[in-house]
Amino acid sequence: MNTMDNVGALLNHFPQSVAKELSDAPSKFWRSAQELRFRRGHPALMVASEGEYAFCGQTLRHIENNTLNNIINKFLNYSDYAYPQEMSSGYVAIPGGHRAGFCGQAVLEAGKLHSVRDISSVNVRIARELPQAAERIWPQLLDREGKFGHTLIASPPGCGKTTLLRSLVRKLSESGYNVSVCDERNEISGAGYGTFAFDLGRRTDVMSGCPKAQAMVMLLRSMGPQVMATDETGTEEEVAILRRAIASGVVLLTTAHAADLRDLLRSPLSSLVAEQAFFRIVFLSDRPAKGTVTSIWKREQLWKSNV
Amino acid sequence: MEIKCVAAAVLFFSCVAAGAWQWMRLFQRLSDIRSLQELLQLLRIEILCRCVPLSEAVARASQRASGAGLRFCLCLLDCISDCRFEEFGQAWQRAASEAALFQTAGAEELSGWELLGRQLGRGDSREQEKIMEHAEFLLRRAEEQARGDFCKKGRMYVMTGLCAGVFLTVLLF
Repeated sequence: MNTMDNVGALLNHFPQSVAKELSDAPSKFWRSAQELRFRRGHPALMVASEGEYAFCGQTLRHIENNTLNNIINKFLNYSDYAYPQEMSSGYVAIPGGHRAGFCGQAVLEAGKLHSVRDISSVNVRIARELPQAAERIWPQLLDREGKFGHTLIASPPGCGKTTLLRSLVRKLSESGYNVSVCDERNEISGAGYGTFAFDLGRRTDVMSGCPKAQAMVMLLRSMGPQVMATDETGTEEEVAILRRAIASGVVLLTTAHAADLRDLLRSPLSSLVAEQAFFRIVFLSDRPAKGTVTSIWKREQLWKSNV
Repeated sequence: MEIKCVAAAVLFFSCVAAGAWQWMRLFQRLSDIRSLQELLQLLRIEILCRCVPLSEAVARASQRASGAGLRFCLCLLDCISDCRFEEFGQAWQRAASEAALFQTAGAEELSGWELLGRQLGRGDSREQEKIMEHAEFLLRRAEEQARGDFCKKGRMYVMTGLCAGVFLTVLLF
């Protein structure tokens, strides 16, 4: 799907008055837009490679409670009750692979987060498709026999992990691998209304909207994957399932939040890194541009540096 | 004499028709409320048991709804696909007006129905259950009222029309 088409489709998911004002932003900003930020009492901002654009329309120059509620309600199809998981996790997947995170007053039930009310901020992260993103690092992810090895993509939030992961999944699929994708937040495939917004290749199976740990077990049992791809691995439970997948002969492709190797060693993934389970660890940064590969750690390097 | 007979017949049937029309209005009101009760039950199943979003719940309910309920569902689906509203309550209100709901009833019934539209979808399943229970209570009360009116006033309108027709015919002769 064309990027501008995808952005146009995104506007359909906003309330009419908001969509109209959003569409008034200059197209040069829309072309490189990364985020839309709505904060109560402040103007809405579009974060793009070109810089920040502050909206000055009647609704968006000063965001009110009602506007924030309408935006989230529209994302939730006016049906809060149908999205309890989203309400308790603070994000909503928008068809097209986009994601809206929100925060406000937490409502706790038996000590657990039940939902969020009085929403004060909404951050819409705009998904992009860059099919060629994988090409520049692809040769470095292959071993001497030309086989793809376990790969971890790490970066702080908003540096292009998911975009690179999506591109790699497509490349793997085109290269003849059966790829199973655990797409918990519908970001990788952009699943919505029974279709995928992004092309992940003809040998790719996607399990969307399911917790990663469960999805991985199901895919391992049912789809016979050669490569298992998943986004933002971070819990002990997920790491245990990753270890199980590695033990069953599946090649892993995953992402995690970490700016460098030190951060990674402080995360739940540290045990896998220390075991040198990953063939390559790719670090990304948003400087000078989003998706910049800062370093690629090889298994041998990890071994030599005695991680 | 012939003119007199024709005029008498016209007068008689006009009075009977006026009475029957009033009876029909009461019957229509009763059947509208009953079909909305049925629609509410269908929505309740879709929302509380299947947990599907409102637009899908309305689409599924429209396959089994009838009468005013079906008319309302179709108008609401039209409004939703138009996307010309900021809140679901606005689409609900517009659909109620397009489907000409409660035209034969009081403002209280219409405002109760519109209140349901404004609250529906907001909050978790427990809140939805409470909202729908309240709407069911309002509709049940409206149905009792409409049934009472239909039984008492309906017969009265028909009899009044008939009597007025006979009276005017006799008066003419």
